[in-house]
Amino acid sequence: MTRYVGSASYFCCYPDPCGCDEGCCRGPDCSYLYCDQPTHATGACCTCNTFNWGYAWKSFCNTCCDTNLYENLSCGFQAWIGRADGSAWFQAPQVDHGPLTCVMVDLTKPLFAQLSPTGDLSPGIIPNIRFDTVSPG
Amino acid sequence: LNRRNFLRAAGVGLGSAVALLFPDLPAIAGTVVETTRETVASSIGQGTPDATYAGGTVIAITRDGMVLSSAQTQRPVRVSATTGFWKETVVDFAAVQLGDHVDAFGVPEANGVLHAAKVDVNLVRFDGIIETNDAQRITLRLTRGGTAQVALSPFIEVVNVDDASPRKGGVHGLSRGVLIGGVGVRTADGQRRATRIWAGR
Repeated sequence: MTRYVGSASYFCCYPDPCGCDEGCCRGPDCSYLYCDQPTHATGACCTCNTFNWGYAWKSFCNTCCDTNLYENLSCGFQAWIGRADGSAWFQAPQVDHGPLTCVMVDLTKPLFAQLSPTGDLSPGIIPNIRFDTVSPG
Repeated sequence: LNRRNFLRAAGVGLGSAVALLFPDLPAIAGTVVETTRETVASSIGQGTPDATYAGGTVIAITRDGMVLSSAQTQRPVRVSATTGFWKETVVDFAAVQLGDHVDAFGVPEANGVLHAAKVDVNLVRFDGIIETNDAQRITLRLTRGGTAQVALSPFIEVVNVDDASPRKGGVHGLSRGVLIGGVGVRTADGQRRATRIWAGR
């Protein structure tokens, strides 16, 4: 079942490791506040630092999402994110959701770059991204 | 080779790879940190470095490559005529300078060198709510706290967040209170200069 089709962008975690939205993980070492909550998982800024290469990618919720997407999903819940036309899909752990986003998933920088029409990060926002909670296959 | 053994081999070969790329830079080759991490089973998820990516500060440049240094390691990157470069706009390799921050994507070679297909230079990312906008510079209340000044690049694009379509009015359509995200270039004096901004309708 498709849960979201819209735009996605990377969220700058490193070298700015505590840059999460309000309600996510904060603090100088990203190790406290919501990091231990089951619905906020251990990803995003909690894992983005010099020695962890996970990056968070968020899908925007400003005008286009069903609020039912604000579900309480367990830490490490596996999601699928890819191109809306189905030509590329990656499985990744969902790490957060919130008032500014539909979902945030941990996906490495190179994989997200593969979703970019130019193969790099300079477009910033990437349209025609699909997020599913079940395997597209 | 499975992925773990490949990266072990790449780490062992890294010093010689740097020497291969940069024979005139023995001091740099001597400081290369070998990759010994073993948590590399997957390219997805936490703690999983991807061999197709290299990021860091440029500490050496030659005719056909550069060395990137991060807190974790140093890695040689080879460039070719097909490598694409971005630094505020599309540029060529000559625009890359010592001290730049580079994100490089490409194909890992057996000797540990990354053959870059795409290179982003000094790319920065920001999110926030507009406080002021005089069409030359935007003051943002950053989502993560604090405020920041963002200058506007001559190459600025302003798009709608939901489908990345051009926004009516361009920068003039960005008024106080609008939530925006964006990318741009960090200039030599540390300033942000936006090249693309997206905003809600």
